[in-house]
Formats: sequence, structure tokens, C-alpha cells
Amino acid sequence: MSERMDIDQILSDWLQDGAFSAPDAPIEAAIAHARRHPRRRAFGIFRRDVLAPIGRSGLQPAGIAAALVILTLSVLLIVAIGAFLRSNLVPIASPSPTPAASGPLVSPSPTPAATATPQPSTSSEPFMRAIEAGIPVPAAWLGSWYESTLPGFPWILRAGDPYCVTAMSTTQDCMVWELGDGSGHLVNPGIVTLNNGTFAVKWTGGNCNNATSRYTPVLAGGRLTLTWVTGSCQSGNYVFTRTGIGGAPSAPPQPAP
Amino acid sequence: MERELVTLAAGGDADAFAALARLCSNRLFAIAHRILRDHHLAEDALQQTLITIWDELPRLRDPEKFDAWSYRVIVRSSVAASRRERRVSIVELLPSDTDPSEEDHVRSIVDRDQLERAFRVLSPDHRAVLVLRHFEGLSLAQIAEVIGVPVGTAASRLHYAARELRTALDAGARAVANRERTA
Repeated sequence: MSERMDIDQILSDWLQDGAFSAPDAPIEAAIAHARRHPRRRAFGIFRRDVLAPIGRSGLQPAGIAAALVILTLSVLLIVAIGAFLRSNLVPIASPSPTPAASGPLVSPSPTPAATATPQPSTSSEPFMRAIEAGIPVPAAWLGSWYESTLPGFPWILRAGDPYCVTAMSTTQDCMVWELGDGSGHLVNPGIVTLNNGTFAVKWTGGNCNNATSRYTPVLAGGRLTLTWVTGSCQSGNYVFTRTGIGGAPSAPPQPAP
Repeated sequence: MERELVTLAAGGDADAFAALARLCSNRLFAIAHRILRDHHLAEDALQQTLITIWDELPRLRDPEKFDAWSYRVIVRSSVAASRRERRVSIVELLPSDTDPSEEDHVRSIVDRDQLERAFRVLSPDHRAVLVLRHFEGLSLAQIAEVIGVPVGTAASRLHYAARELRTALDAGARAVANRERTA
């Protein structure tokens, strides 16, 4: 019993860590959806209660009876309308003798719209992630590098690269590391930009998710040196060496989304 | 006030829905974030939840049940989002310098790290009941209503979720002990 209480307490404490505030983007997207998709009023008596237990209709007995009455009346009404329309149409061909039509051909009136259950929206606006506004990283930074302390292969990719778009949901430049142990394991994905001469990385996963780190970059002699400026994550200085140059190994193939 | 917003939004009032969405989003996002352990997926789940609330709100018989229903929607959206979780989102921190005098701090991080790993082993449904119970503080009856099962089933699910978490924690602790012995 005490072990179970310990687990419960540990879990309760641990669950206090985490986000408490919702970001604006998904809220605004949903509000925009509501404004673009005004709801048609459902035919209430047939509504299945959304909070009904799973596997049950959730309709109350009185509601069921009322629903049956209305359904019966609806059927009778449709039959009556159909009979009325048939009696007003000029027959094109009939095996039985009919009076000659003297009036113009009467087009059938539109039938009342069948009560349609509003179709639930299945659209979900694509949700793209972004870092602060800046300029794209220089072309000379793109491609594979080698970082010896992890060790790993950071890849810096241009905006529009399938990896950036599909795997990281961003339309900006991005970066991802491949571990140097041959496992192909990917770590430290981030959206990147250059802002006032500072290399900014917005991490997009794990414990650093959504944290931004900034570095002073210097590119010289086949090396990209990143000196940490601010940011609570990855607060170290890194030296990227071009793969295959100066003793650096060649990189594995670029990560695929 | 929430009941009034629910009624207006159910009638098609988009402004009322906007106010309702802003009112409940923090609560729903916090739940999704803890189930999914991923900010990005939690945002997706929240967006889908709010859209579903707009589309399905007329079918909520009792506006007083909005909270319970919104819990159900966010749990379902989170479970759906977890299936889209990409393998590449697994991230490890680069090794960072640790002050040897902060060993206790490091050990507490390791324990929390073990708990994080153990929690991720659980299915999304099991994570959900644990979050509803230990974060939101819902009773068994409330959890049963949220997930749409009898109270006994909810209790059973919670029991198995906790047992699975304990098993995963024990396995993680043994792995750490083995690494320390061989280091």
C-alpha cells in the first residue's frame, strides 16, 4: 500500500511539470474554423448525446418515442407530397387512359431538403512551426557537418527541404543531428535562422521543445564555430567541421522525413 | 458564465465559441501536454479538440456536462495525435558540463528522466487515465464518465496503468544500476 502511495505521490508531483498555458495558434485556428464553417442546426430530437456511454445511443425513452412519432409523420408527409406531385405531372406515357393535359408541363417543385446530419468537419488546418523572423542562413552553412564531442553529424537544411517541411512542420531553415555511432538515430531537431548576426535555434522536441538558443557564428577554414550567447538549452560552444575534411568522417545520407 | 457560453456557442454563436475556447484551452492543453509529452503534438490535439467542440457542441444535451465532454474530446484527440508521433521526435540532449557538487540535482533529474521514459512506455489510454486522476484530480466516477465506461472498468484501467508504470520504472532502475556497475 505504501509503495502505491509513493508512486501516486511521485506521479502527482511529476505531472506538475509541464505546460499550463495554451499557445495562441491552435486557438486562433479553431476560431477561424468556426467563423468559416457556421453550423447547420441539427434535427435535435435525433441527436445522439455526445456524452453517452460508449456503445449506447444516449437517447432518452421519451425522446425515442417522440422521434418515432416524428419519423412516422415525416414518412407520411413525404408520401403525401409524392402523391401530390404525381397528380400534377403530365404523364409522358401511361398504359391506362388519362385525361389530356391542357396546362403547361409542371416541373416538380423541389422536395423539402432531407434532414441531414451536419457533416463533421474533417479538415484540420496544417499546423506549421516557426522561429522568430530573421534571414535564411548563408548557403555556405548548408549540408552536413561533423561535431566531435557528441559525436554526431549536424545537418543544416534549406527551407522547403522535405525534412524541414514534413518532419519538422516548418517552412524555415532547419537543423537536425545524426548520431555518429552509425545508428542513424536523429536528435536535436531545430528551426534555425540568422537574426542580427546571431544564429538562433528553436528546438522542436524533447526536454528543450520550443526553447530557443542563440550562438555567435564564425565560419572559417571549413569550420563553423558556434559560441553560446543565450538560451537554457544546449548552452555550450560547438565546432562544426565539414564532413570529409580535416580528418572529419563523411556523413551518413541526409535524414529522410 | 461557461454554461451561457456553451449554450450560445451551441446555437452557432462564433463569438461565444471564441470566448469559450479561450476559457478552456489552458486546461485542455495542459492535459494533452502531459499525455503526449510533446508540445507540438499537444498543440495539434488542442486544435483538433476545439474544432470538434465547435462541430459537435449542438449534440451535447446538458451544457453542465461541457467539462466532462471536453475532457473526453481532448483525450481522444491526444490518443489520435499520439499515433502520428514521429520517431524523429526522440531527442537527447548534448552532454553538458555538470558540476560534481550538484550530484543530488543530477540524480533527481535522472529519476525524473526515468519517470519520463517509463511514462512514455505506457499506451496513450493508460497515460490518459493517470493524467485525469493524478493531474486533474478526477474521481473514478468522473473518469468513467469522461472515457465512457462503467466505473469498474475505469478503476481497472487505472489499476493496470499504475501497475504498468511501476513495472517500467523498475525495469528502468535495473538498467541504470547495471550501467553504473559496469561503468
